[in-house]
Amino acid sequence: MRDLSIKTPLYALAAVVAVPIAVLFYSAGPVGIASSFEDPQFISSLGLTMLGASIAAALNAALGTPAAYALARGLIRGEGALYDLLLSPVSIPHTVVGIMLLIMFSPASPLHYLLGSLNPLDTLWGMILAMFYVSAPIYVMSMREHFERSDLEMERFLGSLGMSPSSIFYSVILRGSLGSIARISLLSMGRAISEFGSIVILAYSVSMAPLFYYVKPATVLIWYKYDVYGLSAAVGYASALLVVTLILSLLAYLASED
Amino acid sequence: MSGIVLRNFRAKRGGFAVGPIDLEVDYGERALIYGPNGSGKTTILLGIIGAADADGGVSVAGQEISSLPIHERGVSYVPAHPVLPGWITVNEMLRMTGRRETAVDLLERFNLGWARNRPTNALSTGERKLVQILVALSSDTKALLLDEPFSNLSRSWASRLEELLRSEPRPMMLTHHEWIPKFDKYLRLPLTVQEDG
Repeated sequence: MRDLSIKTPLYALAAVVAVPIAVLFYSAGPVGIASSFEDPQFISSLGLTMLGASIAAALNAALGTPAAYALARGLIRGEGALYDLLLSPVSIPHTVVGIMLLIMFSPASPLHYLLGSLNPLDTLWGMILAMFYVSAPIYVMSMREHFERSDLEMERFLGSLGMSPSSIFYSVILRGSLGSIARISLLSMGRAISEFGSIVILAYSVSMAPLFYYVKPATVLIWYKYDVYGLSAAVGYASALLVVTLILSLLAYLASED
Repeated sequence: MSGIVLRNFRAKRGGFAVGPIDLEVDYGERALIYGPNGSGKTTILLGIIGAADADGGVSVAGQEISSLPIHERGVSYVPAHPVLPGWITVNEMLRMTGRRETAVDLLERFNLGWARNRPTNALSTGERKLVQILVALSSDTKALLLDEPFSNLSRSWASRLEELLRSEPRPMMLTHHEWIPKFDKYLRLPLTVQEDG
């Protein structure tokens, strides 16, 4: 009885997550999902999204890994405040993120003279900027937890032999964390793929010759299909995108824990 | 100029404090900190390298080190259990931290030359423990702190290591759960400082 009471919320939560997924797949059916993957509009949209999310994930790994290590080891004064700042995009509504990023480059911005020549609107890099902004906190938070679990005694030993924190990080820790970096990069890539609020403002339809001509990112395409043609038109695309994100989650699960 | 000098030194970890300690360990001298589990032996060593809160004076080779980061203190600290990163080889480890020639010579003295190209997680617990002590002995630091260096070692390795440590010119502090003869200084926990035990 006691076991049941402690497990019930877990089963309830799992059901809340799993049932809508199952119902969506049931509604689309295998044919609906397969036909989405054969639709050139969806394929370009997915290609654009995957390209942007991969670059955002790579940026996360390049910048977020050393940042998370510095935070985990308290190498920076005021790291608590810095960590809260890095995490803040999690609680900023993503449409607000879109407006924030867009206005930063507009003539209304105090940074206009510096950034005015860069126009993120409907560009690949604008989409990547939005994806990076919303996925970086998840990457930094997860990597920080990974570093906090790793062996401090080993780092004390190496430090006492004269290795600086940077040298310990780049020569030893990084190599031992490749599995976690892969796993958490895939999770952050999944978060980047699922972004909608800021992307619909910043990169509604992206052109980048010769690869993309007025291509909507996948989440925007699904919303567009739903808004213009109704629920039935969006279900196939939604299921197909869900398949992609579930594959990413599976790969993240399979990536070693070091 | 003294080797390791502790003046009115206190170290704290997890609500536990040990001290005050006044102790000088000169070049060529070995001090043994001994006492039961939980008496603060490791806390003292961690306080000296700056990995536990500490107050009072700590100087090494005449330089006050309490405000320096761990990698600038010039004090090798070897933990009680093996901590070598398992994904790198002994050779790579030596390239990063030690005087390679000295280390290779030391490894050969313990018939561990074969281990140089192996990742450290391919070694046994005792081998890893000994290798990390030898890596520390081959480093360029000014003093050595060894936490329970003889645990996890066979009797033969422990006696050869003891002999090697006796010939080490740098000041050294070791911990052990019980008294060992032939050390230059002793610090018994709870605190009593003795000369020439």
